[in-house]
Amino acid sequence: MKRNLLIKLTLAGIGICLLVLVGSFFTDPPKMTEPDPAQLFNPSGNFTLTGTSGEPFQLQDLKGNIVLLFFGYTSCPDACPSTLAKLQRAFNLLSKEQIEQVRTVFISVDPERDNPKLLKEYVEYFGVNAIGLTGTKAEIDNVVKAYHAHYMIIPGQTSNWYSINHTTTVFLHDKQGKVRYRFLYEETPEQLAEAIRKYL
Amino acid sequence: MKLLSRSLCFLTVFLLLSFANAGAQGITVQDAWIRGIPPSATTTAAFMTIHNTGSDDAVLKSADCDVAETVQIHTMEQVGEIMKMKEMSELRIPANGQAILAPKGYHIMLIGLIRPINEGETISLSLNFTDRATVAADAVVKKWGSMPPMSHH
Repeated sequence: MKRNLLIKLTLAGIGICLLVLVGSFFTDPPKMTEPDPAQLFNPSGNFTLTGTSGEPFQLQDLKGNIVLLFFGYTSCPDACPSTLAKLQRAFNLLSKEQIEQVRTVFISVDPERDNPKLLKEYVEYFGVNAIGLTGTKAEIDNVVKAYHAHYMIIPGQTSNWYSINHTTTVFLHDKQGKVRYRFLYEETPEQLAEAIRKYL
Repeated sequence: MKLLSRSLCFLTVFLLLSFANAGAQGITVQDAWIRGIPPSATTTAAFMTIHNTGSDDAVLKSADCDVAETVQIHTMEQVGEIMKMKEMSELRIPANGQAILAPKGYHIMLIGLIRPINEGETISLSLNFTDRATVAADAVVKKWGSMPPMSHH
C-alpha cells in the first residue's frame, strides 16, 4: 500500500515537471522595454540642468528631436562606453537625415569629478550627437528620481578612487519629450534603431 | 679551453633563463586592448584573454602599468537595470583554461592616467601572479574595442 502511494507520488511529480517544461515552451520571456503606462517616467516632460558651457539646459529645448537619455560618469570603465558604442552602432543603421533628428543626453551622476570641460570632451569623443549635462547633486538626484533610476557611490578598497553603480537603461523620448521606450543594457543596436525609426 | 668554459657558462645561463621563462610560459595573453578615452579623462580599462596551459591554476594578484597611478582588477555585474562594479583581490585562471577579461565582465582598471593615451598606441602591462613569473602584455588602445562601428549606409 505504502509502495503504491510512493509510485503515485513519483508519477505525479514527473507529471508536474513535464507540464512546467512543456508550458515554458509556450510562454515568451517577459518584454521589459515598453514602459508600464501606470509608471510614468519623468511625468513633467522637463527638467533643468547645466550644459557643458555652463548654460542652463532644459529637456524641452530638444522638443522636435528624438532624445536618448541615460545616466553615467566619465570615469566609467565599461557600462557608459559600451552604451555609447551601442548608440553609435544604432546610429550607423540610420540615414543621415534620421540621425539629424536624434540627440543623446548623457547626465553625469558624478558632479564631483565630471567638470564641464571633461564632460564635453567625453561626449564629443564618442560622437552620437551627445550633450553632457551636470548640476548640483540635488538637481541631479531629482532627475534620477524622476526617471526611477538609481546610482550609488562605491568607495575603493585599496585607493581613494571610487566607482559608481548606476542604472544603465537608455530612455527613448519621442519628439514631444515623452518616454516611449526603455532600452535595457542587453538590447541590441538593431532594436534601438528600430524604435528610433518608429518615433521619427 | 677558456673559450669552451665561457661558452658553457653562457649556455648554462641561457638554459636557466629559458627555464625561468617556462615558469611563466604556461601563461599567454591574447587580444589585449585598452579602451580609448578623450585626452582629459584619466580612467579606463584593459581587456584581454589570459590562457593558462599549465597544470596548476594561475592566480593573478595584481597588475602594473607605467601610464597609470593605480591598477586594479575589477568585475562587473548587471543586476536588474544597474551595473555594479567590484574590486577583486585576485583572479584565478584555471589549469588548462582561460580567463576572459571583456566588456560586461572582468577587466583591469587603469586609474589616474599620467598622460593622455592615443588610439592605436601600444601600452605595456605587467601581470603579477602568485608562484609565477610576471607576464608582460602589450595592449592596443582602441576606441570601440572589439566591436567597431559599422560603416554608414
